[in-house]
Formats: sequence, structure tokens, C-alpha cells
Amino acid sequence: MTSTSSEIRLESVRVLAGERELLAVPSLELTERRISVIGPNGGGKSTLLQLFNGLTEPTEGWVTVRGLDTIDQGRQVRRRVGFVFSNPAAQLVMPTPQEDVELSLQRTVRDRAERRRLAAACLTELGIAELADRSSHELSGGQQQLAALATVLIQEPEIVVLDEPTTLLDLVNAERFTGILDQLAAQKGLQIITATHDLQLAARAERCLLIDSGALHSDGAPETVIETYRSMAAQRAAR
Amino acid sequence: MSRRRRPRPLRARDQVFGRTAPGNGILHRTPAWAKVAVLAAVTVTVLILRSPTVSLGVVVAVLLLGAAAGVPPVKVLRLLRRIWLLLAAVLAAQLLFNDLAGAGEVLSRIIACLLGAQLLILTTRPHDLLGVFRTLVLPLRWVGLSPGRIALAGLVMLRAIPYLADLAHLAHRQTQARGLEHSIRARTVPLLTGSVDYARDTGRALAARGIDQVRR
Repeated sequence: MTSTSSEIRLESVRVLAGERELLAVPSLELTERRISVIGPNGGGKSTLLQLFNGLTEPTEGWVTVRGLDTIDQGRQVRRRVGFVFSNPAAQLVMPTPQEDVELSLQRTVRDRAERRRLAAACLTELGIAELADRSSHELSGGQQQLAALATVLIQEPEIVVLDEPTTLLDLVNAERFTGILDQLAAQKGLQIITATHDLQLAARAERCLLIDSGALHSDGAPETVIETYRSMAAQRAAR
Repeated sequence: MSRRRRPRPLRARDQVFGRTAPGNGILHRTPAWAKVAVLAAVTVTVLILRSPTVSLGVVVAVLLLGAAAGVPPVKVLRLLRRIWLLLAAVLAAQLLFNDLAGAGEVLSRIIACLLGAQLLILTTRPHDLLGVFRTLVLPLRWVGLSPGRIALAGLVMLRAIPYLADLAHLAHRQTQARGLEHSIRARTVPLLTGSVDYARDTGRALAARGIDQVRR
């Protein structure tokens, strides 16, 4: 009963760590182009996101991306679903952004010169061509995060999942990052799913999910869901 | 007013790898494998001959060669300042169990080999060194190990060194802020948890990109 028209589908999903239940989602279908995920720390946001590309596999139930099962066809799923993490430093492994982007291509593009050209074009597209040959370690967090985004986008994913991509960035870099991402997503017709504590960023989505205590607490239009989250937070802080 | 102690200078970031002396001298243009081969030959010679004269000759040659390729001797010698404690320990041990001549001989050998390696690192892009490394471990294919995977491990290790150095520095700052400079626990626990976090994040990011080895 998996329909390929839906992008991401979860059915009777439970994620357990030993005995402890980290996340339970009876049913969820994500078709909107822009989705945000909000909720308190440790509530299960990251677990949910990592289900989408098979980095976390459901202990029970099914997660499918365009009809592909994340357990049986993990590799194909990961080719379609790019993932950006919050710690930019841990995502870059090569000495320079240029080489890191080339590393993403090593499986698909045989020719070295072609890899070099494509990587340079990608960095230019993201407006960081001038950083291509700088030492990745010496880049600022914002620059590193853009380089990390480049290593993901070069693989031409259909869906990009971002786990608090701007948490470690200052306001200017966060705005720049989301601006560039928005623009590219529109251009390439990507589906973007972002977990964030930045409620302004969350409000820019078409649909918003509130994850709390390992469950989908609310789901719907961002204004409504964010309002629910605010009153939940106010209630808990007063306790 | 009494004269105040001078403020502590901010420490520059430690950089072991990943920084080449910029330039386009003869050494920068020599292929990495040739430099590694020469370094290996020189190292073996120095270690076998055990002659302080040869070792000192190598040190002078390294400095001259570096200078000829546009690498100032200061940059090469900077390595010694970073590892002086280690060298001092070797010297002390040698003086204790051996004599002055023996100490000079051992120390000159170590310094000659290290400075040679430092010149190699300064004039070679890390990625090229990695390529040589990958070729060197090719025979391991026959015992079932993947050279590309070993190269990736090497790469992640190189990348981790400056990150962990930063982390150690930060942990030290944090203990200072809490007045816990002398607590080994306070200095090491954040470093350990930070390393594990970093390792996990790096692993996840590589898995998400579908990268499990470095290909040619």
C-alpha cells in the first residue's frame, strides 16, 4: 500500500533504544515542499529526521521515501535524501571545501577534471567560490556550514533534511544560509525538512510538526503549531 | 602604581598538518611520492649510520633545501619548539642511562629525521600525501583490507587533530573559568565527551553522504 506519489511516509513506526522508546509515530505522510520540525531538546526531533534517510532505522514499522524502504534500500534512499547536521566542523573531512565537494562525487563521476569543474561550479552557485582552496578548519562556522551544504547539494538530492542547521551560526550567517537554501530549493524543486529552534525560520514552512516526548504532538499550519509550542513552553517553565 | 605583569598573549592555534608553507618552489613542485621516497631513504641512512656528523649534515641540508624552495628556516625549526618537552625527556633519559656523546648522537638523529619530515609536510598538500599513503597500503588488499577505507581513516584522523587541539584548549579555558585548573577530571572529561561527539557526528555525516572510502 505504499504510494510513490507521497515523498516520505511513516507507518506504525517505533524507535527503541533498548527498552526505552525514543519515538513513536503511528502514521505520517510528508508531501509539502517545505516542512519545519520544532520541539524541546531531547524530544525526538533528530531521531525523526534521521529516520528519513535511514541513519536511524525504525525498530518497528516502515519508513519509505518515494516508495523506497529505508532499511532494505538505504543506499538508494540516502542518494535521494541529503542531510545537513548542526555541527559544521564535523561534516567536513577534507583539507579544503573544494576537495570535500569532490569527495562527494567520487562515486558518480569518474573523471577527476570533471569532478573539479562540477565542484567549483557548485561552490560558485552557493556564493563561496573564494573559499574553495582555503583550509576548511580555518573557515568560520557560517562558511563551514555553506561548504557542508555544498557537499550535500552536489549529490543532487531530491529531499534535503537539515538538523538545526543554523543553531551554531550568528544572525547574519543564519540569514545568509537560509536565504541561499531557499533560493536553491525553489530553483531545483527540492523538498526541504528543517528541525530548528528558530521559530521565525520554522514559520516560513508550509507545514510544521511539533515533536515532544517521542511523539508527534501537533501537526499543521506553522502559526497554529508554533502557538501551541509557545503555550506549552510557557506552562512548563512556570512549573 | 605597581607594574603589572604583562598580559598573557593569546596562543596561536596549533597546526600539525593541513598547513603548507605557501610557495611554488622546487620542493612544492616535486611529486609527493618522490619526496616521501627521498625522506624514507634519508631517514633509514641516518638511523643506520648513527653518526652525529651525518645527522647534523642532514639538518643543515634540510634547512638549505627548504630555504632554496622558499621555506624560511624558522618555519622548519618551529617544530622543535612544539616538541621541546619530548626532546628534553629524551635528553634527560640519555644523560641518565648513557653519556653525553650518546645523548648528542640520539638527539641529533631524532631531530634530523623530524626536520626532514617537517619540510615534507610544509611543502606538500595533505591530499597528495594521502594519495601516497593510499598507494603504500595497497598491498593490504590481499589480506582483505580496503586501502580506500584506510585512507579515509587517515584523513579523518588528520582532520581531527586540530579540532581536538581546539577542544583541549577550550576544556582548559572552561576549567580556568571555574577555578578547577588542577582537576584532571575537569580537564579531560569534556575533552573525551567532545571527542566522542565529534567522532559520532563525523561518522553520521559521512554515512549520510554515502562515503565509506577515498577513491583514486
